[in-house]
Amino acid sequence: MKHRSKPLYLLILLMLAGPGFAQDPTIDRMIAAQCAQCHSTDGHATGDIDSIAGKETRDLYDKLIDMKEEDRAEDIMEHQAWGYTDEQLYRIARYYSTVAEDGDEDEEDEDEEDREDEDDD
Amino acid sequence: MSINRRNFIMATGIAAAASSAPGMLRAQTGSARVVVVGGGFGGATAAKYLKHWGGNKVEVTLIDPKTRHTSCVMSNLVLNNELALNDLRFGYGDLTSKYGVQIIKDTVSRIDPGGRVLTLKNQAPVNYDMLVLAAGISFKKPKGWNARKNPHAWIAGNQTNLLKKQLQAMPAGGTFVMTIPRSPYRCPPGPYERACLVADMVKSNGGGRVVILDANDDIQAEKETFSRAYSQLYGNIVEYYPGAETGFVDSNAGVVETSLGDFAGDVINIIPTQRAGGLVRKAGLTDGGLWAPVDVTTYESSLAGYEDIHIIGDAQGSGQPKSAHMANAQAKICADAILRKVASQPTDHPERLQNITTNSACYSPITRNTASWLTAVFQYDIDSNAMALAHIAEAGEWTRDNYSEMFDWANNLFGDTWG
Repeated sequence: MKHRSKPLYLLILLMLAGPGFAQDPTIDRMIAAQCAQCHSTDGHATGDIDSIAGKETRDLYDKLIDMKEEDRAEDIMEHQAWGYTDEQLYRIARYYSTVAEDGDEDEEDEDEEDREDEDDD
Repeated sequence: MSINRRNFIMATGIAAAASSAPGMLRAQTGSARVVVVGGGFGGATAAKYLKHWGGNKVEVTLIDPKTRHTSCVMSNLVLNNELALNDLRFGYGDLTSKYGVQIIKDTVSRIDPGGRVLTLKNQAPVNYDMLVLAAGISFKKPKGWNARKNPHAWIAGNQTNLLKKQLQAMPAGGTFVMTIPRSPYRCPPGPYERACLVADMVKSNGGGRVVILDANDDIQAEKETFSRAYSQLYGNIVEYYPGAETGFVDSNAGVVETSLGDFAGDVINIIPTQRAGGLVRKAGLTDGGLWAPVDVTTYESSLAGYEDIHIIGDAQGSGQPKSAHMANAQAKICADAILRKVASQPTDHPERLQNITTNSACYSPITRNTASWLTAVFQYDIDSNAMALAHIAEAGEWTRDNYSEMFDWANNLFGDTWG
């Protein structure tokens, strides 16, 4: 694996930072805006590129991490994910969850089915 | 449950701050006047995002000489008739109707940095509080060169149609000559991709030669892909000459003189050495050089005396690759910085500096129905005060799927910029 995260270290660091530790959502936005070059403004992509507007933070984050963890990345999006820190990927996912989703109900239903099929760790 | 990557961030309960975090100054009353020069990928994106994120805190005016911008992105597909140039023209209507950007159709002839005034060619001068320059490139013209005979087609528009016409009329067995300038130039993979498409056209037109005269020592982007394409697909058509510096261009005789000798062609495409456009250079913003030095955390000029003048896109010299996709990316960092300045918020605190990131992605047609891609991510490095490459990759193969995705990428980029 090309990336070594230190979850325990970071967990401790964040706990030490105290309950007042907060993050600026406009910085979430600034990072996430870089996705718009392919996924369009606020993630409302058209054509065969996935719309990411209004996706749940957890789902989008999991997908991004999966792509980043792909050792034999072949897809352009997998390679994009490699370029960001885990925290940035989280902030991106958090931003898109705050955006109104596209009005496509069929797409929503498909996502529900996918979630049911996934095994929980 | 063991801590794994997925769970740890959720478990620590990072909470998003409310917009009025303690310690931040209140936004100033009244709106700041931001003027954007240039309605291409950089300028349009900057104008749009300033309003999209800033609302009434900023009054944004976009100045461009034309009512529509013609995209260079995808313009090589005009050459082989896959697209019409009109498919690549974008007006500013949505910027106004959706975001409230004011448009002035005119050319900026002079910048007065002290007085914060722009002199226009036809209309009254325009004042600004903050200025964003996104006016693109100009060329260092080789001696003898006549662009009407040997088009560059490196700023899309009539030049693109001219080159297309010439290519369509090229005789079977004819020779296409293309010169590539020393890096940095706009769109690193662009010339090599154009050579592929022309080779493809030549191949189905009874053969011929595609002569690439590259001033660089090697292929500047997607080296693996293009090398393989030239040898596997176009082996008896493409001739690649690295280290060929263009000297005199005899546009009348159809001959390019280079450091490696003279090359004659039926169609000659001169892609000249590039530099920041005239407005930026004449204002002193390149400090006598080719490109404007900027602070990559804001895109403000790093030269003294030019406060609140930001340069984005091809004309700035941050070392990031020059492309439409990157200009759009930079515009967002710039817009964020300007809005923070307007609100008297810092742009150089750790949380922001740790998250200044831009990305590049583009697809290159390799044949009339397959394409490759290139992608890169840059992150701000505080030690070098520069954008550092975090990751770069090219497609393993050229495919029809990539060719189809290319249109989706382009359409979304166009929409994000002008829509």
